[in-house]
Amino acid sequence: MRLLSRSEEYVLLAVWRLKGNAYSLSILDQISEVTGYKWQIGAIYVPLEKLRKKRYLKKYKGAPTPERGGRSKFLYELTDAGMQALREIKQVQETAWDGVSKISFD
Amino acid sequence: MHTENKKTPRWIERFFRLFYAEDVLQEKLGDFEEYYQGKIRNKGKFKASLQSFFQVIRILMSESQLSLYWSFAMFKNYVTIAFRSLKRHKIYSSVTISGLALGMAAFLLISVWVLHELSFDRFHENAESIFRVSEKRHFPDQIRHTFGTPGPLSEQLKENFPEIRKSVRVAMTGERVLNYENKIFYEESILTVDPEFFAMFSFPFIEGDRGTALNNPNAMVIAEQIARKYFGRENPIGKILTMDNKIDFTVTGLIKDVPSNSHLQFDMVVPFDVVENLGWVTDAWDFSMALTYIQLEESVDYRKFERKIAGLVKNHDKDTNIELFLKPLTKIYLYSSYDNPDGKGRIQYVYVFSLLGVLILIVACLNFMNLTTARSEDRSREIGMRKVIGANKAHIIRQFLVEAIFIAFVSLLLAPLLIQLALPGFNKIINETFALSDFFSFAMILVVFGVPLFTGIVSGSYPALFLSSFEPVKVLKKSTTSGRKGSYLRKGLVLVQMSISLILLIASVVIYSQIDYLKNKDLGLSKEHVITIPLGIANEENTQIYKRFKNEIKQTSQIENVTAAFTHPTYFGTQAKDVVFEGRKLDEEMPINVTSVDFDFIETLKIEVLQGRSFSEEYGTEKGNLIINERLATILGDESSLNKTLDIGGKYKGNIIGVVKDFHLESASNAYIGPLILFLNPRINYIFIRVRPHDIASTLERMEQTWLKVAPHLPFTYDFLDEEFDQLYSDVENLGAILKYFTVIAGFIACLGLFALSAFAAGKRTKEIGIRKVLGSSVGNILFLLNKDFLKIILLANVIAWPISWVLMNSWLENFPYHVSLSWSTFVLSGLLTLFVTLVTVSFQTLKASFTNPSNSLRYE
Repeated sequence: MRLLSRSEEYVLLAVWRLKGNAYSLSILDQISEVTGYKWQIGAIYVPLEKLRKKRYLKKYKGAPTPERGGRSKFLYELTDAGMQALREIKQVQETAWDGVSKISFD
Repeated sequence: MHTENKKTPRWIERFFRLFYAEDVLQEKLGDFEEYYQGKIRNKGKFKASLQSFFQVIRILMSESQLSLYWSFAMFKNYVTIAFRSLKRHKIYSSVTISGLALGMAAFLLISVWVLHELSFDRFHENAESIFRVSEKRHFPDQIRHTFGTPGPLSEQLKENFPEIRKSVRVAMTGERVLNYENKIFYEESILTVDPEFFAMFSFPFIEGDRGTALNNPNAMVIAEQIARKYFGRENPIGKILTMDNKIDFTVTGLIKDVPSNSHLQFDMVVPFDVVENLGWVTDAWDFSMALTYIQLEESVDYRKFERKIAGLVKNHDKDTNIELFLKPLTKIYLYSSYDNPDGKGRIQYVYVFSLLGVLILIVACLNFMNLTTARSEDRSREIGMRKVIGANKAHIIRQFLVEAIFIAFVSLLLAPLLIQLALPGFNKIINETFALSDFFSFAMILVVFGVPLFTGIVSGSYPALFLSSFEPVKVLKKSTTSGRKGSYLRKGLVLVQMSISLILLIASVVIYSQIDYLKNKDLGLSKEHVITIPLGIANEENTQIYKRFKNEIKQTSQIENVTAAFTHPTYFGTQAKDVVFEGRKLDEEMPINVTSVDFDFIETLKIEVLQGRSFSEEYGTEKGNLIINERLATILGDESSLNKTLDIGGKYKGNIIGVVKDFHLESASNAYIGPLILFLNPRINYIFIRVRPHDIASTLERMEQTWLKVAPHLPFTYDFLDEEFDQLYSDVENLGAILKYFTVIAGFIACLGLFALSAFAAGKRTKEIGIRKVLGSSVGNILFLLNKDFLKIILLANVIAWPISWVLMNSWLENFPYHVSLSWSTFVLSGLLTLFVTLVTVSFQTLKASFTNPSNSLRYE
């Protein structure tokens, strides 16, 4: 597995959570909600594009909506490789953090 | 319906369109629309727009990081492809590369020269605060500028104006004899200066102390080359050099040779008082004898200060028409000249040459554009494939720009070779000593890398736009793409190239005919077969030497005539003061030249006597007799001026005994003939000898022997008067020479382009030619068909170039008081020459095409 950047991980996870309604703005909202930190729209495209180039995400055209000025949504979906990557990330994270909860932070 | 819902600002859409292909564009536009509408609802229109703006910037920044990585990967691919395509099309490649290399080499040569000219006098530490004080003399109908200022001026300035930090006088001694033991030479670059000279100007010292070197009245500072010449490898400090066999100087300082970008050129420096020994008046306010340089306090505005001192001379000399003005040191070389210290000097040449350099580079760029678009068909399949695979327009544009810049850099590798080849000739023309190492100065490095970058971008821009607009479906189906548009543009480019070449050609021809005219102009005196010997100083001793020399040499049958004069005919006369004729003060109306000559002057130089007679020994010493020129005679009045009296300087009353035809008193390239007074006086500086034209070598040998007999302590040096006159035009001649070479280069580059283009045109029409021949066309018909296009271009180039060069050259010629008039034949002949060269170039290919056997050309497929 190629290591992903933290923002890529969040995006990947958000796409999985959104299940079929993942497009740039909804992904943004999702991440903001999870992290509690306001993400900017300008920051979303690069991780999306990088994930797509790594073939973890697939992009497809959705239906046009009036909010978008009659333009189509472009939806994202995990590929099998993306699914696999997400699993591995979880694994790695858990291994890395294993035992930490037992230690007191202060 | 949904168009009405669009609310995103237009600029966002336009901005995205620049960067993104259609599908990505749709996504982003959609996102922004939604984002923007959400923002408007929450925060209002202004905040929404502002935030959108920051988001766009953010996208741009984060994406450019990503694309940098990809473009680097693609960059490698572009260079590989460029390299392959260069290798595959050897003729095109060599034509393009050699054309670009030539253009760049020429441009770099010019740049080195231009930077050198612009660097004049800037190496002095205080360059910005040093000024030269010069004079403006007001006459009723003209203003004359002179460098010289009265001797006491410098002292006065320093005493009365606290704004002045330093002030020095500088004067040239003229040619002097110097000797050390048995070494004896004439030296002409000797400055006499006030002691602060080296404190003001930072010429680098090797030995001695800058502050005190000139404190001693017999001190001397010399340049390295002089030290080598007289003392070889010995230490020059403390050595004694003798001037004019009389004055001893002790060397107290050694400086580096004065760099060529200094307007003050000298080999030796001695204290200013030395000029008094030469008999110069240093304390008179009505005699301008020295250059005055001042260094102002840094805070002083020199324009204001100039107004303060403008009328200073008037305080000391009531009758004066002199107004003082200041010239910044860094502008002296570029913005003043010998006859006009306040005008345009070399800067004109800097402009002209820079323009030439740029024109050549443009011709080379056009060549590149032309060739690249001409063979666009070869690349069309590649472009089609790239587009099908996923390249967008921006990618293709980037690819061809990279390719053009790559080729430009490849050409740059050839440039040093060309420059090395051209340098000796170039140095000779412009009288400099540039070496390849001069191309590595900081400023030049910028130019060296800037040029190919510029060339690549300029010449790659059109091909990139043109090629990137190909539609993959069409090019891959192999329907022909070279539309009318492309071919018109190519012809347009050739047209521009040819017009530039033609303008340069006409300009060269005109300049050469002007040089020819100046050199062969009837000067009013005969300059051929006249030998001049400088004496260096007008004193009794030299007068005796001259008399003895004249008596001895006149016996020789080889010698026609011998005479002498106070001044040299290439710069004749000093301005007379207080010339009064029948109550009129002539010198207030205009400058009047006066000089002393010996018997036979008019005869030796073959000047025509119009009225009266020439000076003659029959009439004794001729004391009180004057000869004037025609110009002065007309000023004096309509009736004959013979036997009338001129009062000069209040003490010399002269009777006019003759009027001579006007002859040139200085270079015919910058002045009309002014009024002149000649009187007889044995105070002389130059000897003139008219020799018989055959076997001049043996005559010279004879003269040298005689000279050694009469003046063994003076070196024998001589010049030919006609050569000295020709040297006056060296500036114009340099311009002509450089222009000539650049015309050839521009023409050559244009021909390279024509050659490749004709090959391309003939190649494209192979089948058409075959069919025409089968149907009965003759070779002549085909040749005409193929050459016709090029003929049209040449004719049109003439139409464009003639009026432009007519206007340009007319205004150039107007700088000369005496000049040729433009003739139609210059234009017609230049046009014909261009036509001829074009036809020869083009015919290589067209002939080959028209002789091809149609069975060969039609057998394809």
